Amino acid sequence: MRRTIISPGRRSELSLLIFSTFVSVLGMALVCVAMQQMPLRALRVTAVSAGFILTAMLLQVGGKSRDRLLLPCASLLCGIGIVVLWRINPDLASRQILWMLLGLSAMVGIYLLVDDVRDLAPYKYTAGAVALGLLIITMVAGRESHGARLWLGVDGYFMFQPVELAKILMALFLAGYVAEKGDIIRASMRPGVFLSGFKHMGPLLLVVLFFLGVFVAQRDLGAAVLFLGLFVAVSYLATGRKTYALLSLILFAGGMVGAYYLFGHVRQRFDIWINPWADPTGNGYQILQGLFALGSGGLTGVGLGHGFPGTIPAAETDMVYAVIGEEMGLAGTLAVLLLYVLVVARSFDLGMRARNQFASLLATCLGVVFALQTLVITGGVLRLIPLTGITMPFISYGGTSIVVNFIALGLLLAVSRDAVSEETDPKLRDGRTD
Amino acid sequence: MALGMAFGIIILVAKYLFLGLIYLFLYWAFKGLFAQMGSEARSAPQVPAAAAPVPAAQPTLVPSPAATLPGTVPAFAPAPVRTRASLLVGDAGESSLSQGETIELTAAVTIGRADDNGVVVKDKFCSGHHALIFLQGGQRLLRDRGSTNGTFHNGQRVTTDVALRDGDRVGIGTAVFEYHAGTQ
Repeated sequence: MRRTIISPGRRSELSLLIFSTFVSVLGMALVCVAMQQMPLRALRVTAVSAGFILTAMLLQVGGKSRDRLLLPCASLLCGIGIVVLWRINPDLASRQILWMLLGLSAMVGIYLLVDDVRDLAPYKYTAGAVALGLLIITMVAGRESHGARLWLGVDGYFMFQPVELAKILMALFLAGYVAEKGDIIRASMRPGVFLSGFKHMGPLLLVVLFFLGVFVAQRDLGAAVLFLGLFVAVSYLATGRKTYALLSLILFAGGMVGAYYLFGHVRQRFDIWINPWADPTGNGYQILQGLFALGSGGLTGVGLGHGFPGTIPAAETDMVYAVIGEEMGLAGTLAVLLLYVLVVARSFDLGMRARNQFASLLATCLGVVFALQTLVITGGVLRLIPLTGITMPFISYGGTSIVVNFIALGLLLAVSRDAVSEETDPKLRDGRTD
Repeated sequence: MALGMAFGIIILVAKYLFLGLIYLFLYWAFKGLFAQMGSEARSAPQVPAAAAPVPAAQPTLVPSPAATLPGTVPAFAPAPVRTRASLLVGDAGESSLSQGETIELTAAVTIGRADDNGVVVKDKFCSGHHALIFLQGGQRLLRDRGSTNGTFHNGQRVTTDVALRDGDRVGIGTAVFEYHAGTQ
């Protein structure tokens, strides 16, 4: 009897997935017609959608209940991403489809491999060390591209961006550390005493500062902002004190001001942000082209395939939001933002549901990573904050970024299985406290 | 010329359809998100109640409506009055029921929010097909039908069929019922 009652949720996940397939195909058809390509090529996007549907069915085999909302949202984001990329460069889009399929298999692998998310907790220091190691190796032996050493691998064979992977590893480390030390931190805090409990927060701060040093040396400002933001969030999660969040924010602001005076490239980014018109054909070119694209898009856009994404530098990665704004207008950009809101809100929701601290913190940290990435890049393109190179989850072109986003999704799904199964089984619930 | 115009109109319609469909997706997805968030908000405070040895967190029933039931007032009943087994609404919570309302039970009664139930409970935290109370081997059994927020028997979440005894409390959604076996 139970089985039959559970199934409606599954049906609605499937129907949402099929619906997102339909939307993606429609978008692809519009692009193909506008670019005078065979409309049948639009069906290529169904490879990704079919992958999602297949994945959803595959993850059902175990029979355990899990989250039903993340996959449809990711599917639509990927669909929109492929549509926009196809519009910019069909070859890149085709490659992106392959990356997404690879990412989906990685996600299934993570989901099936990680039986209980808590099994990952003992590897927190390993995760942190691997992240740091990867970044240092990149700094020393990495390949340079666009003035920053961000790539690792052998030219022409296999290249990847360690910083993308470091995000997930960092989330694992922070979640593991705070899950273990959280009680001690909170117990050592005295009400009303400023900075009590610092003894256990200190090491965390040191690690984060070390990472920041690496990023600054690598000139990877986007990652620096992301990691600092993650630390602000975690320090609040660990202590539940606004003092810590405020302190981290002050640290954040102080770091920004310091970086402005210490590093030429930071100053340059900042100056471009304040006044891109100072050098409209040089430094300010990228952001201005993006703003023009957003402006010409208006409320509902010029229509898919009718814009000029070729005039925006890095349109397929950092500036992809401007292309969405031009061809789909304010309506399109808001819709994409709302899709991210769904993913992030769902992650936080899972974080609140999860019955053990590690799973809870991990889901929240991953949600924070998604949120910060989205805010930093969309804010940069819209000139709300200085533009820093960071990928838009599931939309920007980039193999590492796509695969890592799917791994994060797999971890979230694993947390959801944990949260839901404990919820439905009170016997398990009582014995399980971390 | 006319063909070109018709084509243009189709493309224009498709453009707005594309955006519209994305928003339709968002509407459904957000509805799903909020529906599940709400369920968690409700079930969270129920956890300590289920874990506690004494089901104190379930609201205690007001004695006065119980006294109006003939079956529970032996002093005023010189001869046993035949009464049917019933559910008394002890605490209506946020549901459509009203406190003190008595619901007579038949051999099998389904409880839920959907209209095809024997007892329809309009409550945000009640599932469409929430629970079932049925007669088997002279016992009345309570079964949870896979509800989102659970069915509670004297404060314990119901996982397998449980036998109801006179005076037992049944929690469904925000409402709490008191079971009366009757004299049948």
